[in-house]
Amino acid sequence: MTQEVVSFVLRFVREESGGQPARWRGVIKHVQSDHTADFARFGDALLFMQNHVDDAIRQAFAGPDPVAPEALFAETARLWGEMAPRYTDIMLQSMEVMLEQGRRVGESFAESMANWSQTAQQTTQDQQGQLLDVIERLAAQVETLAAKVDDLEARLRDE
Amino acid sequence: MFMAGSLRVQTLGMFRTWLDGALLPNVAWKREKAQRLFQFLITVMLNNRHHVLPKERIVAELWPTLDHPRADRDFKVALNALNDALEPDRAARSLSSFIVRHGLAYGLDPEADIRIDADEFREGLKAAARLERDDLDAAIDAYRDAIDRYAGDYLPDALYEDWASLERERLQTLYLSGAMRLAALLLHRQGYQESIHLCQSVLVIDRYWEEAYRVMMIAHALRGNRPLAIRAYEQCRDALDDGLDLLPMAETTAIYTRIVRGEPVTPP
Repeated sequence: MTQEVVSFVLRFVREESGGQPARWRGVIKHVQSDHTADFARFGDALLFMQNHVDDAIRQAFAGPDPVAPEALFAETARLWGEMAPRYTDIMLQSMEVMLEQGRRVGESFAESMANWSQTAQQTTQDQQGQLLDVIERLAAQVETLAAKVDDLEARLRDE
Repeated sequence: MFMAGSLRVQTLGMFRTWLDGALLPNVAWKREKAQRLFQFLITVMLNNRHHVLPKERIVAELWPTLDHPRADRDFKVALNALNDALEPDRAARSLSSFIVRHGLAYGLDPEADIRIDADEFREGLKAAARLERDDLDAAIDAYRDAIDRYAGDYLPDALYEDWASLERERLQTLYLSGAMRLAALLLHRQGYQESIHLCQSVLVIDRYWEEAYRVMMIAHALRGNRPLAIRAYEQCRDALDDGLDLLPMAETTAIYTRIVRGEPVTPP
């Protein structure tokens, strides 16, 4: 039995500064190699993951018999096609958890900041709304990408 | 009658175990997998002191590539070696003092005398946070005590294990926020140099932790060292620009501007 595991630890850091919109950045670590990368755009984290998954696939195919590049590409496409829809769900759930935690923290602060809260809460809700919009747009993009990968995979199979 | 002993386990920075106060030598584990099984059970206990895991789950994490009969056999061998390491004088077939079994589920005995540094670190931070409301000096002492317990990453010899990575990440994040909290509180007690050291230790782990640069700038400024305060801002700006293509946040730049103009700055 062989089993190849590729896992990542993803850390998001939310930084807020005096009334300005919050800024997100992050660190991603590939557990099996301990490689890390910092990112301010989520696409960079995706690229980091893709490179490590690609490496794992290349190693899986490594052997005395040469493998056609098409086979490698098809396997990559298949894996990403499988992962992308689930990945979107995971990301949305994670973001929802973070937003929920943010709401809870906001509630606990509310008592001591009663005089100040009206404007601040409105701002926070607006920011969360904007964040959700961005997440929804990202989810739609990933779904489109997954559909394209499926289509590509099907065409490769047909050929 | 055999009396259960005490275990003290260091998981942060390096892995070591003391049995009744005596350091357990590496040879006592006999097998690497016995030590790994113990580390895994320690990790389970950190998440829930009363938790036991089905053998299948343990085997899936520690022997993922073996088929069922071989994994089952290796688990038994590792468990025996672990019991021998923790209780070398235990009578044959007697119950373990540290490991409980419920059916086919295993875990560390929640009633056993087992102290884990990572657990003390987390509890120390919680206690410090509670003290902040009533007694700032006691809170600072409690934060210091907790932060001192973080001797490094969780189980660094299990660097490539998924189950250890999650705990490592959790603990490191706690350290970063705890160290920053202490660094900020120290500014209120003129503990500038200690605050700067804490900020630097945070930046070693995460060089983009902007709050660390801010606290460092304020600490240098309050010490009257304006050049170093400005240098801290420049380091922040360069790090963010080089690694993330970002600018410092407005709050950071505002502190910098005050320092450059010679205006007073206040602790956060």
